[in-house]
Amino acid sequence: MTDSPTKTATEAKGAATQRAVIIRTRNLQKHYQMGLVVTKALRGIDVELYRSEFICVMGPSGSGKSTFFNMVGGLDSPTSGRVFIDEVDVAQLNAIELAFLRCRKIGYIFQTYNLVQYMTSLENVTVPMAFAGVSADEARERGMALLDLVGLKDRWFHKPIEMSGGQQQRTAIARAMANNPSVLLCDEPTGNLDLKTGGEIHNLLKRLNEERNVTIICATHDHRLISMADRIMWIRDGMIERLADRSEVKVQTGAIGGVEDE
Amino acid sequence: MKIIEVREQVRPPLKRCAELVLSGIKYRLFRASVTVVIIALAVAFLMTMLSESLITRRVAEAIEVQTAPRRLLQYWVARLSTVPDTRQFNDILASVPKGSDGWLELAAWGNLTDDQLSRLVDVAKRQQVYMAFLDGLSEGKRRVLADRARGEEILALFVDKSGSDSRSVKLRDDRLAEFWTGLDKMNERFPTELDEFKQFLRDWYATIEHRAAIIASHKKAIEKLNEPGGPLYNRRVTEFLAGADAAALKLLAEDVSGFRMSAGDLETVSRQAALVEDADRIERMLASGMVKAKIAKDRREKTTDVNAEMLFEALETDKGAKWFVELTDKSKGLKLQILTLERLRAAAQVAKDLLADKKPGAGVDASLLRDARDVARIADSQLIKEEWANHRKLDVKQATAQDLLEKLTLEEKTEEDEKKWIESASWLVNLLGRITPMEPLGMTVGEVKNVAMARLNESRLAETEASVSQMATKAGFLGFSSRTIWLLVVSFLVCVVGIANAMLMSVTERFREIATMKCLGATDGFIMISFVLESCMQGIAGSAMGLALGFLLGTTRTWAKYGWMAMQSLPGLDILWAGALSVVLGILISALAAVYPAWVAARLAPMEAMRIE
Repeated sequence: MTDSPTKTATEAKGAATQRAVIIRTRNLQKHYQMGLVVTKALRGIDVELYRSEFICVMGPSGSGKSTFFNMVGGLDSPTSGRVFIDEVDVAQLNAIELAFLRCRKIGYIFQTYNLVQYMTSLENVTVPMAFAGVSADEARERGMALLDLVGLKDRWFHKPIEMSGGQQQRTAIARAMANNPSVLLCDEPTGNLDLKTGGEIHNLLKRLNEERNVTIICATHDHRLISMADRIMWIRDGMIERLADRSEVKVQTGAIGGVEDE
Repeated sequence: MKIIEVREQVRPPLKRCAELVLSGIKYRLFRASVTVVIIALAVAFLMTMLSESLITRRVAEAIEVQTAPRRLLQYWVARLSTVPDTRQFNDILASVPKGSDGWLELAAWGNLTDDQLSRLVDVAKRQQVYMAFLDGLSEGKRRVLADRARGEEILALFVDKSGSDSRSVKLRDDRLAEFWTGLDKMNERFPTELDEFKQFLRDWYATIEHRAAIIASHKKAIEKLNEPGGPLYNRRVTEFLAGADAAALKLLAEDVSGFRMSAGDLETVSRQAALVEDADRIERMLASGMVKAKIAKDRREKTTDVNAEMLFEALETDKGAKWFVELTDKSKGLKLQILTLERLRAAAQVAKDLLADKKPGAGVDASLLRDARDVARIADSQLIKEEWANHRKLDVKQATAQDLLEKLTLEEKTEEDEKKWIESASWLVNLLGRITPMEPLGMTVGEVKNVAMARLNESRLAETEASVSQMATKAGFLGFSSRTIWLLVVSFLVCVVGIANAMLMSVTERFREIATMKCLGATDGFIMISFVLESCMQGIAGSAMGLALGFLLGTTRTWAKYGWMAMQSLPGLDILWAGALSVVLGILISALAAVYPAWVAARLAPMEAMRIE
């Protein structure tokens, strides 16, 4: 995939102008009709996310963070505005093309893991490969390699119910990586985990980001994850409140906790 | 901007899809089994009805074949004893095949050429249509249209008899017009146009003499058979037919009356008639108290309740038949003409001398001597000795003729003796009275047994025939009543609703799983197919279970109803087809029921996966 030259980005930081853009949004708006009341979940978001960066999205509940995630993940279509994923306009894709996009371009990691209960971890990991048309033998091989990557090689025959939360989430990460996606969308990946296990997941994500150059977009409240991120984005009332490099955050606030607690 | 370089999403092969679905079913086995049971019940119901109906039809056919000889005999007995009424005669005419024995017989009786008879047959066929219509009218309507006339009488109303002969027939146009407008007012549709009916009336009236001639000849033929010296003089028809041979056939056909019976029919009819005669002879033995008492004792019933059915059931076994034949043999000649007990005493006195080889004393006249011989023979007979031993609770060896005669000749010295004598004498008279109606049977044990078996078989057939005819004669799809069809439809509707409900619940339960699958790249089509496939698999399992259950139920029910005949006439191929139909229907129904839930699942937004409950 050749790098396309970035368009003139309004808010682009000087350092970022040369980097490849993986996701770009243009005046992204999403309105929900609730009876007679129209709820404006997103009110015009313009942002560019770069290839192989680690970005944390923060915001209180009801801020539009989840809606933003759905848009960026190709799970929902915007009311107005555009989302480009890898320079492809998501709004112009039909259902089958969307499925293709979700299958190969994006990996999803959920707070509740969402493993299929009646499948072993290997089977869970190979499900996306089946949708991508990978042969069963190759899928098994690749699935085992991925399980090895997340450190669960010897647990491939376990069903989710027989595994701890951390192990389940690691299986879920392996599954998200099944078709070598460009983007990993993590929705509070450590929200249901204790500190230690959460830390392992963080390290795993960071490692994937560094070793495999996967763009990681992560909604979280976890300080330690924020400290690993390249950039941090705050969303409030459907708008980007602030978008900053980690170093800037440290320089400007001095304490992440102060930012987090507001 | 880049042109969309997204290719079509790959749909996993059906095998992989089926694997996924199967493991899903295993995970939710309980719910799946509930659905399976629903399908199984509906399919079982259908299969029961189908196999029952198919078996019943086959049984009806088998009965038709097996009762053919009986019906043929009835037909001949009827023909040889009475002339048919106009309705029966018309049916005979309408159905007689050209050139058959029946045809020749009718031609001879009516002294008709083939052409004339052909015309008669044609008229009879048309008449059948009109009569069926007129009979179908309600009593009230018929009254209005034709007053009290019935059947052919209605046709006669429209003919002007005084002005007609067989060459030119005048019709009562006024009455016909009245009849026609009457029908119109009642909204009844006559089977043909008026002109055609008129033509029929003319033809009918023109041939009426021929018909009368045939009937008259038939009547004369029957009279001839019954006149002194004729084959049926003082004989039952079956009695004559039982012994009928080729000579008798010739007698019927040529010498006497012109009845024509084919050699094949003769064989069947005479065999059947012989069976009836034999069965009658055996049945008449029921008049004997001894036979009745024995059967009543064996079956623990009241003597008065013993009927022919019980007798034949007793005779069906070797043992029973043997006992029966021996009893009739032993009772041969045990007849006594003596009327008073005093006369019996006198005869017994003489009989004692006879048995002791002494010369009878003086004063014994010829008639007493004859009675004495009877008494001696009776007292010395095996049957009486056995019964005497039984009665007196003696050993068989002690119960000799002398002992019996001693008791019969006790002088009235004391009141005690008097009592004993009366008791013994009346016992003997009673016993003889019970034996007397027996007549010589002249049949071997095997014959008795065969007759009993054939007779029982016939009554069982008749019983089955009655219950079969209720079902088999019904018109419509496989003889299903509209109620049954309605029930079947409702059962399948209930089944559809049940499956749809179960599948909907399954979809609701698996919202997150489905949404996750969509996040992982499942297309709507894949989701839809996997749900329909799941339902189909349950349909296959349910249909297979229902098939087995339904077949078992159907055959058991018919077996209970028709007994061994149901098993003998199992229509294998038809049942196979019925099974295939049930299974296909079961699978189709479950697939159909899954369409809506599958659509709901396919429509589900993938972002549902993000939701946290």
